[in-house]
Amino acid sequence: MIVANEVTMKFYTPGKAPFVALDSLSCQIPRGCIYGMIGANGSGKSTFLRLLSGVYRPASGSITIDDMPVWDNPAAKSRIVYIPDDLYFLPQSSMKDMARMYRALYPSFNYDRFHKLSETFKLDPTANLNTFSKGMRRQAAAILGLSSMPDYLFFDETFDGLDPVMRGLVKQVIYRDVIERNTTTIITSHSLHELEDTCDQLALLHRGGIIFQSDVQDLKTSLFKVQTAFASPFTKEKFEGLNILSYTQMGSVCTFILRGDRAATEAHIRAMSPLLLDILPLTLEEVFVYEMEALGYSFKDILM
Amino acid sequence: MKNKIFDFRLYLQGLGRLRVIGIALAILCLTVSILVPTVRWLDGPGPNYQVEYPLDGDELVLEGSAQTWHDFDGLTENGKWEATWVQEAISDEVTIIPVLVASYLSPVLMLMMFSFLNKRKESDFYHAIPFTRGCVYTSFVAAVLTWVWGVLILSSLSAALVWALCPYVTFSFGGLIGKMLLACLNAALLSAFAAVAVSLTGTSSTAIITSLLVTWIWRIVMLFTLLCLECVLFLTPVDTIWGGYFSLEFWLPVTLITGGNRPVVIIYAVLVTLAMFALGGVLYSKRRSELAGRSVPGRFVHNLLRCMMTLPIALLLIYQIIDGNDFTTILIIFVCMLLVFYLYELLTTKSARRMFRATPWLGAVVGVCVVFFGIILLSGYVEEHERTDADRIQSVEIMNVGNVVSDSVVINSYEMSQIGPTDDADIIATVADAWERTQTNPRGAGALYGKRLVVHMKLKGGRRIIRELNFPWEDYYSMMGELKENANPQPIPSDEMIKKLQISPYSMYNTTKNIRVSGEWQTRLMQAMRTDYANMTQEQRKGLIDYSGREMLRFYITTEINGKTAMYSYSIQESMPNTIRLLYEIYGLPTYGRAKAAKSLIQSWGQDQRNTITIVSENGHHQQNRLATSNEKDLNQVKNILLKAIDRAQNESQEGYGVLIYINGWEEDIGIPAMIIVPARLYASEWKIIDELLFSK
Amino acid sequence: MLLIDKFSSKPVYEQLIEGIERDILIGTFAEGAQLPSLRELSAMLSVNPNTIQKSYAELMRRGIIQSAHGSGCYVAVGAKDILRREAAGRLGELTALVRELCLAGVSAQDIVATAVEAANGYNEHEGGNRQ
Repeated sequence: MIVANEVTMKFYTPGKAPFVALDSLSCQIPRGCIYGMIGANGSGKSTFLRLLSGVYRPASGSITIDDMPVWDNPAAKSRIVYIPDDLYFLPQSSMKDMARMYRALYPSFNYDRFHKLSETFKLDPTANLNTFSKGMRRQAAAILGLSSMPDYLFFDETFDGLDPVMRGLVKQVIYRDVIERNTTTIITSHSLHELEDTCDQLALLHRGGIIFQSDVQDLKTSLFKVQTAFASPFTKEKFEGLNILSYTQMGSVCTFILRGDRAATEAHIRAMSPLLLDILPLTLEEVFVYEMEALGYSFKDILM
Repeated sequence: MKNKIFDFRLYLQGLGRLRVIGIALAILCLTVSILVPTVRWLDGPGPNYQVEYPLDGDELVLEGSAQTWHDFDGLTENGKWEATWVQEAISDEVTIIPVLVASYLSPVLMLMMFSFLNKRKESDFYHAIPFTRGCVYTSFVAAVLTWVWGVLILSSLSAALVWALCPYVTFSFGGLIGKMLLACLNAALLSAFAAVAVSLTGTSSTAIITSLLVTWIWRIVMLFTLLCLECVLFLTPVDTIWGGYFSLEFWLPVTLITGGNRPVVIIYAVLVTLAMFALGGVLYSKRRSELAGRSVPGRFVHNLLRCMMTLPIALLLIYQIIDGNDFTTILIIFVCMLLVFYLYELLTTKSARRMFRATPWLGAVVGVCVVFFGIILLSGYVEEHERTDADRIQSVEIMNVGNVVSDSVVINSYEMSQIGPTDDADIIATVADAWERTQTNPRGAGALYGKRLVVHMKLKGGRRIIRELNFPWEDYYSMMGELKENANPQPIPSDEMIKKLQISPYSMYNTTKNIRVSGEWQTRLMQAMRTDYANMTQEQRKGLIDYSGREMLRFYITTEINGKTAMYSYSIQESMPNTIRLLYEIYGLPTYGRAKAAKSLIQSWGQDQRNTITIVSENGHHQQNRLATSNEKDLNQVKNILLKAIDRAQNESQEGYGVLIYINGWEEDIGIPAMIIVPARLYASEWKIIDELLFSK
Repeated sequence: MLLIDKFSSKPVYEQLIEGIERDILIGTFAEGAQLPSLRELSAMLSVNPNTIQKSYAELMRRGIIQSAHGSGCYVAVGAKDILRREAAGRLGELTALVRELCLAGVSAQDIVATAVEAANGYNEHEGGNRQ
């Protein structure tokens, strides 16, 4: 389990105030979870992953993996593989060379999986990695990471660069690892769509803090849209007692976003004898937008 | 999982990182190392010869060195030479030049090895792998040292191999190994500084600057400390304070190679190297990975570096002001200091506006320098301005006086060596007096003021101090006279003390030679010298230690007392008949070739003037300068006697002591060779006449 | 058969639950039969195993399935009964729909006719021999 407790990360720039990349961030990621993180560039996703990988040390607060701090801790690091957005391979190396190195670093490295995945992805393990396209290098990095069989695997915007077929393949491997070895995975992405499909937990990062974190499945059911009309004039007060996030009314028809239990809400409104009542689900993006607005942010601003 | 402090695979990877420059360096150094000896080999044998010519068995040997086979004083015809061609001795420095270069490149290699710290991708990679920071550090440092030491050792040994095979040179294998190890130490030392620097910065340019700073800053501070002390200390020799350990040689990275081989310096270098590597390791462990690509990690280091950058030039500025240099120079330095400071700020903050906000730090640096110099000046002043009462002093020792020559006192250097510390009240009083005078008027030194002496004083209470004091000439001479009286030294070493005796005529042609004397000859010569000395007047004794530049005939006596060797020389004077007679005996040896030798002997007395007759006989050495003023009749009589003597001499063998007659200016006139040696027994009767004619009037 | 639409507004885990319930009622999974393992389902449907785990957990909570340690999950005996009981509770939804249709002007006859037709249609096609 990953536990981040009030983690703060600052970057010193001479002559200016330090740039706060993470601001008292706290979260808990249980074993076996596939955790998605979404946020604009500079929101702190990569910084967070680097802290988790032991590359950075927090300015304050603590980051532990299974109760062990990661910083300068080879025992912890040997169970973690971090695949950064900006990939680095040893100069003039091939996938095979890198595999050999990974084998030395991670005793759990599995050559069978490596060969199988290389085949499946149609990548030549003996070719110089410099000759690979950007997408192929991402695939190679993913293969190497997965073949290392780590307990914790972090993909920093790796998926954004893979085509859907590859993505599906990688996901399958991840799922198997979750089942077989309770692997914990963190995936960061720009695309909510992608995370929605793969992850079971989702967090939104903005300016160094998690402003929103939730179980993906719950998210979809946490909010819904209600459209209803009444014969007699009414105002919003009519719906006092309901947890309304956003309310618009045009004449006798009103539309609002509601948090709560759907059946109970339906019953409540029906009891008022509406002329019409529609309860509609929201897409994940819409859920996000309204949740953000409720928190005081504009989602568009956050993701742009 | 074990926390290793070294990983072999990482180490191999490190080796691989440097393979390009490592191999290039190896090729360069090996080429030079092998090329230089090979060229020398092709040059062939050198021109130097060591020659020995036994004049009388083992006890009297003419020895010298000749660059080419020269006519050694015309003695070569006699053919008893033993000449050994001398192999050129190769100094270790020559062998070690490529090695020197390599050792100064070691910090470059260290910077290159850790260059990954300056690029974010690579830096993250190396920090994410499951090794402790310490493990990565030691493995990579080991890789750098492997390359550097490997190149150094390989080049040195290949050079040694070629030198060893070359038949024309000798070199000291032990000396070479020693120099090689010192070069390795030097390389390690320099690279250790770089190792500290890489952890403090995140870009290559700042890493280079910081590396230079870390290497030199302490040395620069020491340099200015000593310079400042020199400004303020007039009495105390700067390199004797603080136990002599704060001399500049301790503070220069070049010292190890160029000769500071005192064990203390080496131990110090080893300790600094280890400390620096350890510091580098600690800093590396604590280094913030996000430093990659940025110039400084945090406020503290940033301020530290910006101050250290400017410190050397600020020190220079304040020093120039103290030293009283001209305004233009000071102004130029001031401007340079501003440039250095603001350019560094610009480099790190990348903003002209922010650059100026750092100015208070510049003021702080200058302030620190002022305080620093102030403290040094103050402590120097305090050190020098002590009470100079005689009753503080327990004993004094006068140092570095070679010999003393005055009307009242004559002390030769051997006698001086027997004079040590004294607690004589008069002498202490004189010293105290000189101390006070010098303290009140330190810059009033110079020949007019008196004699400047280094005095070691032991104060009551145990403290020892060293001062350079000015003594008025009379005080100096009376003090030295008293010292001599108290010590009552032997003027000439006794036989047991003599390790080697050499007589040295002046050089001729391209040879240097002397006569090595031992056994019977030595005993006789020394005895003659002692006898002559006893009979010499004070005035004549002065001549013994006269090195006024005339080519003198000298004795060089090397003594060995209590394991220590020292050499003393005595100039043979005209007033030493016994000695001269023996010398003449030597020169008279048929094996020597009397004529030239005797001529050189007399020429050495500077009496090579025209119309001079010099006669050396049992009765001593006589000289007449004005043949020209003698009347014609007398001169003709002299000439006839001489001609007859020559005649006889040429028909008899010329062994044994004879009368040496040297006439300058008569060759052309009467055909008498300038130098004649006439056997004494043939000459006895005429001697009286010549004596009367030329010398008695 | 279990069909999952990942981008439907209905969460995957709900779809899974409904799908399994339907399969139990249809008879694809008989009572006492073993359900597909997490691994199989995840691979088949390309769904996050944690999500599947969640569905199974919910079904277990309702008593519809039970797990035998080490050998996966089984349809509980009496699951069908539970489901039927739960389904009956949903008649209220019908009431609401009927009310709306009435409001819109649909006649009660049409409503009843449609309802009867639908139920008959089900009985013929799918529930024929299960009555």
